[in-house]
Amino acid sequence: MSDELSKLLLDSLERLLDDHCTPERVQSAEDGGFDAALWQQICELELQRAALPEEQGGMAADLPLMTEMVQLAASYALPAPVAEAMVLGPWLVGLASCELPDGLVTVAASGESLRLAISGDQITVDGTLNRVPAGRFADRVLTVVKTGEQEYLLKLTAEQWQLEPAKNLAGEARDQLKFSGLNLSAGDCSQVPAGTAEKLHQLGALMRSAQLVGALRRAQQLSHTYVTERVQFGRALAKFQAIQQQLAMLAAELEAASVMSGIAAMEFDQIDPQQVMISIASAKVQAGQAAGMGARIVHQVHGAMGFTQEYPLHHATRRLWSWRDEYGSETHWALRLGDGAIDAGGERLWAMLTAS
Amino acid sequence: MSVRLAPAALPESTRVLRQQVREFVADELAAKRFVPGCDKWLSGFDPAFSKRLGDNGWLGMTWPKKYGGHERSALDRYVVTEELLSAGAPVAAHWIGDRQSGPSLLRYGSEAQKQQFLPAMARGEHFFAIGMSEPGSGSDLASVRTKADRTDNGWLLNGRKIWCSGAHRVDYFILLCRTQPPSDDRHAGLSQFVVNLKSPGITIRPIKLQSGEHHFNEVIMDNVELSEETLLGNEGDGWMQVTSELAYERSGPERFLSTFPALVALLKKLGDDADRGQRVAIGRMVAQLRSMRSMSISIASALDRGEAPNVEAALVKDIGTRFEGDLVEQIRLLVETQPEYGADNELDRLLAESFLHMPGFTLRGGTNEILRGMVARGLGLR
Repeated sequence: MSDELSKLLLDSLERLLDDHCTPERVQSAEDGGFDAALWQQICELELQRAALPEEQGGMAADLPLMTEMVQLAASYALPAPVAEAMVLGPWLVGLASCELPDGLVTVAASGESLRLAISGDQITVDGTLNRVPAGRFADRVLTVVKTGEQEYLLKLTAEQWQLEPAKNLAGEARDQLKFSGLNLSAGDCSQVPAGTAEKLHQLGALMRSAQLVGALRRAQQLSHTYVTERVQFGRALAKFQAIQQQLAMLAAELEAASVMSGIAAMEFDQIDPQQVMISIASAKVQAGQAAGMGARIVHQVHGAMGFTQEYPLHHATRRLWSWRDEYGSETHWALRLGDGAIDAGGERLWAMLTAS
Repeated sequence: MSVRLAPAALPESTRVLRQQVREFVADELAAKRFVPGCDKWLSGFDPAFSKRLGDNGWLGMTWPKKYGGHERSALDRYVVTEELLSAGAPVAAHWIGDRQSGPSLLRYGSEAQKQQFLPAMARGEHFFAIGMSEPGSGSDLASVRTKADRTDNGWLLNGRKIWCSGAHRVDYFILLCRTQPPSDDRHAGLSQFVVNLKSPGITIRPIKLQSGEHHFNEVIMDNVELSEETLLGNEGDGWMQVTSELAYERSGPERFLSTFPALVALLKKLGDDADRGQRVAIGRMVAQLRSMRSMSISIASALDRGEAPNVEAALVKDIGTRFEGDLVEQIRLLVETQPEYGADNELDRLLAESFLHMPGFTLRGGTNEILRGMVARGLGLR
């Protein structure tokens, strides 16, 4: 995709969000975090198909661009499962060379708790999908299930599950979907390459990293505006060194996370799986850390106003506190990096860090 | 206003160079020509080592060939410096000249100055120190009182400079001083000179670190006669020139790797026996290192494109220097250690070097508070 077309896509998304994704709109989608009309507008721009290969009706937008779009949407707290519908879903159907289903498509992070039985033409699904983003609004849920050495992409449909609603700290639906003795048609169960579940986990972590960066950027902008306008002791808060120092530290954490997730997006398609793991894990750890520290700073500089419902800071910070735990917390990814470092040993640690 | 770093990858072509540096370092270690240490870009003063780097073409890498340089990219230089730092190699002798004095000479020096200094610096034969801070001028650099007065055939220099690392062993320093009395514009009337530290009238007095090591010096200048040719750049442009010098000073991988050898020693000590808690802690450090490195490469790439990412460099130095201190604070809690200078136990020794040098990490090259003030200005807050 050309740079011009990339810019066009980003610009059109930004314009749409600027015009329509207002704090009021985000607030009114609080119960579940989905604004169907807004999502319809996104779909009219065909953005949910942008990441698909051209032969599947997409625009073959590369991952760094899609990551930027997801980050942008997150900075507006767009009430829709953007990462799932725009990146994870298209990536999965691209891999399985099947069609992207119509309607709202979401992706369940892990199909580990589903049991898949295949005998002849008979495909049976039992078990539970936990914390499915926008589960209650979705027409289709995609997930990857392992049985033995094989991995399968399942396309599940709303009438096939029993829904138990749940949500994250930001009010976004993270629903439980239960399946019992579901007979799935062969068209809705495609074998995918071994390692797909792991790649999906990594891609999900990358998306959440980018979303954390987007939400933190929004929180940063709100903070800059607030401290420039709010006057105490006869001066704007921004004029106090104590405030400047806090916001400079926030900027450093944010840029660290931003650059690292940008690198991870650039490296995702590389061949060396260890290298991909390192950059994704580093991005998620750094973004999770920035989220915690950043949320503390932005609330501190806002004073009490910042944690009221009427002021929109919480649209960003409650997402920070939610997304950092999704697709693996800092501890989850740090453990993987730590295992890698211990395996490498002191002599090879630097080589591990500089493989890319 | 905004402060943004763009993600950047090192070009494929740096792989060969990296391998060459690794082989060189392995040979040096095998021949026991150095012992890895922490903060060796301050304390590892080894002219012979620097000379060998010069022989390999790894000093003055980005400078024009006609001044003894090698016309390589800033990213090639980045790779060489991060390899040497991560190995804890003794790079202090040439560090300042290669990092900032050389680029300043290249940018502002006269043709004669370039010819005189740069080729010898690139060979690893001429070394430089910094002459910025004074007893009364730390963070407030524009308040310097050292002055050069016009004479019939040059300048007469009087004043005192402090924290001049290596001044007792190197040949020259680039000095910032007043050439006009202070005025309403605090940044006006400052100039830079290239001063031979062996000049008559110069006294160099050690300022020992708390560890007892001698790296810092006070340089006292009492009626030092400077020729016309020692002026660097234009009279009165000193502030602008020193600011661009500081951008080079702040942007490199030495701003997050000073204590890295201690992490290597921790892993060697743990072997395969690390428990879950240790693995998680180590993994967090790895993630942070990888992120700091991404930021540093982003800055190097911007420099390579001819940009001047001064604010971004200040931001990276702030987070990077806090990190290199945090790194050893975490390491000491993961294993039993009794840090001791010169201990046989590698980790004990490296932690000792780190802790006693650590206060300097967030002071040198501009305190982190000053840097954060620059970032705040870049963000439009002041």
